[in-house]
Amino acid sequence: MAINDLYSDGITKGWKVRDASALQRGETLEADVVIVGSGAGGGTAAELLASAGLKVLMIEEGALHTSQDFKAMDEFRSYGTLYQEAAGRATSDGAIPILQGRAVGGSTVVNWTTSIRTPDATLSYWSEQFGVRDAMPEDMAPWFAKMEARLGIAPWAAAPNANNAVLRDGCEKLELHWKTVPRNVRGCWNLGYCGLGCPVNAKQSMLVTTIPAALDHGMTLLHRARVERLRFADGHVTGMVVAALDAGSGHPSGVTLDVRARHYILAAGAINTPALLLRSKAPDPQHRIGQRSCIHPVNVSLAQFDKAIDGYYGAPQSIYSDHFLWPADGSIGYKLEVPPLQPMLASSVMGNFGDALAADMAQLPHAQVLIALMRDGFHEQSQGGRIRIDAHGQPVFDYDVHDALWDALRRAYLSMAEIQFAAGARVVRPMHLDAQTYSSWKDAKAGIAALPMKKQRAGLVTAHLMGGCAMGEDRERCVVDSHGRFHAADNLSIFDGSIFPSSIGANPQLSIYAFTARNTQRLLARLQPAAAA
Amino acid sequence: MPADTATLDRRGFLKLSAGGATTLALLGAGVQLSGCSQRSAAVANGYRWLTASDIHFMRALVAGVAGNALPADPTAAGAIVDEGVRRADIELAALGAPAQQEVRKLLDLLQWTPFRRFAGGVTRPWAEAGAADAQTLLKHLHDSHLSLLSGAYRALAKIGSTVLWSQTPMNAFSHYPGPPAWAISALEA
Repeated sequence: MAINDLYSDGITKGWKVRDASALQRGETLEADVVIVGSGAGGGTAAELLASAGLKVLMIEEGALHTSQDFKAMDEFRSYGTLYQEAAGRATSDGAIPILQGRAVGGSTVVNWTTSIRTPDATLSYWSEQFGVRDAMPEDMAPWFAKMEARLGIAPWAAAPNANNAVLRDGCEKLELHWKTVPRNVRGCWNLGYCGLGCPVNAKQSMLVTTIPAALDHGMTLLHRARVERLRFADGHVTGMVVAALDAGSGHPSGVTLDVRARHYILAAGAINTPALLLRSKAPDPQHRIGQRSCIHPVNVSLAQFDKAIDGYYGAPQSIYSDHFLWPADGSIGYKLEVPPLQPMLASSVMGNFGDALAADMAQLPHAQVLIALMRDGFHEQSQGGRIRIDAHGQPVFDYDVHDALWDALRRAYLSMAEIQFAAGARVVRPMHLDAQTYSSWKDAKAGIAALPMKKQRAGLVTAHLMGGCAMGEDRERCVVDSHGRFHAADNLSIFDGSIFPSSIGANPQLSIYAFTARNTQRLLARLQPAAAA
Repeated sequence: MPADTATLDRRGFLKLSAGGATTLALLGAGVQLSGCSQRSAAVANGYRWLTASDIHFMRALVAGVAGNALPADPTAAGAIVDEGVRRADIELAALGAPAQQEVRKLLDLLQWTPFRRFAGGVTRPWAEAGAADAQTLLKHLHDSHLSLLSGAYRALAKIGSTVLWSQTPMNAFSHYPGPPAWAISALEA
């Protein structure tokens, strides 16, 4: 059963898709709106703006890869082509590896499809602490509903795979909260390879939904093109310098484009958007760009079961638990989820080597893994990290882990081990260089209590980047207003995860979709008052 | 740099390392002064980023991370190690410039005899070293609680495991059946 390649069909019928690596000479491009980035924010804005009749240009640093390229379901190929720095991105000290997409469609091409609304408590916190307007739960509900309908988001109706069932069963045994994950899929084959690009176009990523719709409405997509800088003058963006990238090396090919538009939207993600603004010397009187760059620091617990788990097959995330997300005492909480377990990813989180790693890998079909996502940016110690640029303008992400986060990470190791044992695990090992393999909850509890909670010893990872250009009305603390408009330039908006003033406490994609849809409508009313009336 | 001519002894090294991560820059400076830096060394023929010296080390690293998971047949094992080194080259070439600079410092340090010997416990140069030497290095780095060395361990273990366990021939050992055959054939139909 061949899967239609939307892009070869679309290009045949006239879609304007241009590969900047093929350009031989520079040129000037003009549009009503230029969008930098093609992920959750860029894709959502593109469809709404192009379908309203505006001339839209979308610029993406990554390449165009489509379902045809994903058929092999090959980890090395996909991590190498679809992720930032070939999945080797990390915080500046290397202590926290970062999985973030880099392709047409951005991280939506490679995420694990979990689509959860921004928690009410998070929306309230942003409103109270940052003066974010019109974004309380009742304000946002219609935007979540709109994007859920657009992207086929619904609780997963099939049975969870065994890897996720462990989370459900352990929570049931211990009488903890658990829920079924809503996923953005239509006609899902339940394969389990969402992180490598969906080979059947079932995942409703931007690649197969909003970007094709925008192309149908005449948008131009320019990929393999990196925005080097924006030009600012008198509180206004006057243009953009864009470097075409060489297809082989990914480095600038030497061809440069000049881009001009009435309005500019940055949607390059919470690392690259602040870095682009810093590189462009954007007006920033309070030095807020790149500050409060939050993540969900994630720690990991590996269990072995006697029964087969086969964690590489089936929807990668279908069960989650928020039981520990909002502790009553105000300490940092965490969300519990499950990752897919194909061998390359699994081997990288196991953290050992030689015969010990080989012994773990020989048990891969019996391996089960839980992950805990810390809710960063809510606690007084929790101010996130900082995006800065090096001497060449490249992004660098400094992120420290403070005591309140270490406390939460230790509690999370405990919760995960207890749940795994309750669900029948034979042994459990927290992913920490000083942890042992524990054969009972009692031993695990004692062992985890004694673990030194230090960077590099505790294995951390993240896939969720939020903040760096916080939204809110307080110009002393915020980079954009409550609708994503840059405080210090009237024709610039930011529509991506960088606008969130803290982490979300849920996987970010639906939050980005909903805020972008809301903010794009506001922008349309400004750009096209007649059409919006 | 001729082998073992640097004067930094174990005691001096440990004293230097006590500063933690900030010592990477100091040690990097030591490497520069000793003339061992590969920063300007040519990329090896057929590779994107690794130098000839790096490749000696990477071969030992991949074999060391593999442990007893490599096939007994030396030809098959050698092919997996070679492919692992090729994959490491692709991974490292794709890193952003700031991360590449950090990896370069680390790989240069590993070529620097005092570091290899006193921090890594490896007496032979990497051109003569094998899996057991890489395992000695990894164990030293793993067991150190200096964040510099723990960080080096994390980086090397990740490179070694991802370039190895992403290879199809390793599936026989991990019992990973590969992507569902029914789906592959349906997609090819």
